[in-house]
Amino acid sequence: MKRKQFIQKSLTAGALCAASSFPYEAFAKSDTRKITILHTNDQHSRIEPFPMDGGKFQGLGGFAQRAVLLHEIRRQEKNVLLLDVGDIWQGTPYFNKFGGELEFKLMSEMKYDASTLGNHDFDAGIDGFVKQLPHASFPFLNCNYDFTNTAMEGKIQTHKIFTYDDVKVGVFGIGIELQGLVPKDLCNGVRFNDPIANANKMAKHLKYEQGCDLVICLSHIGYKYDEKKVSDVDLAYQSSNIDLILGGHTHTFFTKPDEFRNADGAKVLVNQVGWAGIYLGRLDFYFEKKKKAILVPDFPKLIAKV
Amino acid sequence: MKNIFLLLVFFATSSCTKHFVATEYKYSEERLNPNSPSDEKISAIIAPYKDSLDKEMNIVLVVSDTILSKATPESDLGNLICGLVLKKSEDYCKCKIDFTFLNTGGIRLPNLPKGNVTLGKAYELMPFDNLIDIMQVNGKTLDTLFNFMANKGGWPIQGARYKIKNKKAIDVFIQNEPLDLNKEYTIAVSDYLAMGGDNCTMLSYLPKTVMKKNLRDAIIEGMKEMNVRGEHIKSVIDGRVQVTE
Repeated sequence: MKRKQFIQKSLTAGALCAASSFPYEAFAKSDTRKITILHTNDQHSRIEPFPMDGGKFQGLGGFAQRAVLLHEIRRQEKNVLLLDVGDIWQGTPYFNKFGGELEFKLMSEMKYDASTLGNHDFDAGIDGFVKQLPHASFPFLNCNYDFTNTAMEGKIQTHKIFTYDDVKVGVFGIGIELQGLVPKDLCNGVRFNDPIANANKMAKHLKYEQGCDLVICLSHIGYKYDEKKVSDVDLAYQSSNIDLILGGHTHTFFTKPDEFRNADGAKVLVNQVGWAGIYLGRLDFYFEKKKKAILVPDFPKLIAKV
Repeated sequence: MKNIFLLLVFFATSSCTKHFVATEYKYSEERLNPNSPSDEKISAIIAPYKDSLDKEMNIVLVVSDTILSKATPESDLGNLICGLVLKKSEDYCKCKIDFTFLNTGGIRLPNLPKGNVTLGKAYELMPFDNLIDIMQVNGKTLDTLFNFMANKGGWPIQGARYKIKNKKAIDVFIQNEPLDLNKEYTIAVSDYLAMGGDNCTMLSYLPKTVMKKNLRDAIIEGMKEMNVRGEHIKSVIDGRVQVTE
């Protein structure tokens, strides 16, 4: 979006805001907020830590270990959003034998707020996924797969909005092209639509129609490729209105989030935490009440990497 | 005039155009390590699943003398798996297989540990239920396949060797003979790749004979047979896939 158009849109939003929330302004609390965003991707059924057998990742990961960390963070932080970026399933016999039931149960117990779908989340077929859904207390978000006339129709949400102390966080998901990656009989009838076009459409809706202060894309399309294949890097450059892309699929270990300029020149962050639950990613966002019409391309600034 | 009106609206409402703007962020990665404590409630949910799995999965299939690793263009772990799959495929089809190959991404562990290799480890190496297909493929199609594998940085193989130059395959040998574009070869391949998985599309429209065994069965049975013969797993790297300038 061009800057002029951006300002016009903000003005429209401002005019709407004038009618609805002016009285509240007088009673507004402090003008700063903090939201802690926690994320995993490509857990691949790694329920227990890697065994101590000399392997590259020995002793790392584990659902029960992550749960302790989550308790600690939630004790210290009021506003915590816990997200997963798909490929929850496939990789240990826990999935082969129990069909993904345990993974969903444990993520529900850990109070995951949302996840998106990875290609391996189709490994039990559409019916296998639907069968385990009752074990998940959190929604699956995707806006570029069309599930019409499949058993998944109506069971996947495009987005979800979370509100913390008046800060609205919009979360949505996009998935990778399944053809060539998932056997046809496991995802039969699921149609793939352009992830970038759909992401931009959804982000615009969340930012302008829903008034979200932060828009997060859960992306299982992969960080980047040598070959010509749509990736998070492409998405970052071509996106509008997305603040944070949490990635997956390529099992990429970052040392800190990558920062890009999107199509409007605004900053968009991309992060991914490898795979198998070895790391829990944590981004603490600090918000200030500001005039939205002022586009600050340097926001948000990285103030610390722990 | 219209512009002045807009400007007035802007100033009149500017106090209310305020939103929460993310101005700063901090990043940290919390690494879960061997000293990380475990949550009792989560552990209690896992326990019955783990007990039932351990009974079945802790069976030792074979012993490995060394740790094996996955790598490109060639790795001892890739060589081991392809070796087991080729041999077992010949047993299943009661035929001679010229070569078998695998996608690097299809090997789902970075390492196979030294010491006891359990059934559970075989599941982690190859968690998918992909069946083995036997196919007759002409040399021209295989030329496309080898170039495709070269472009991917080298995929594991048994029964053939090739070099990679500028992402293309050169010096392709099958059963120690140069690839003959006019000859038919018999290959064993997972139905995932045979159906075009991992963008390996050149085989997808060709006829296949489906074995009622999956790749993991072949690995498990192959390892058990090694154990019966008193063999241990050893690291084999013989230069079958090489990158050259």
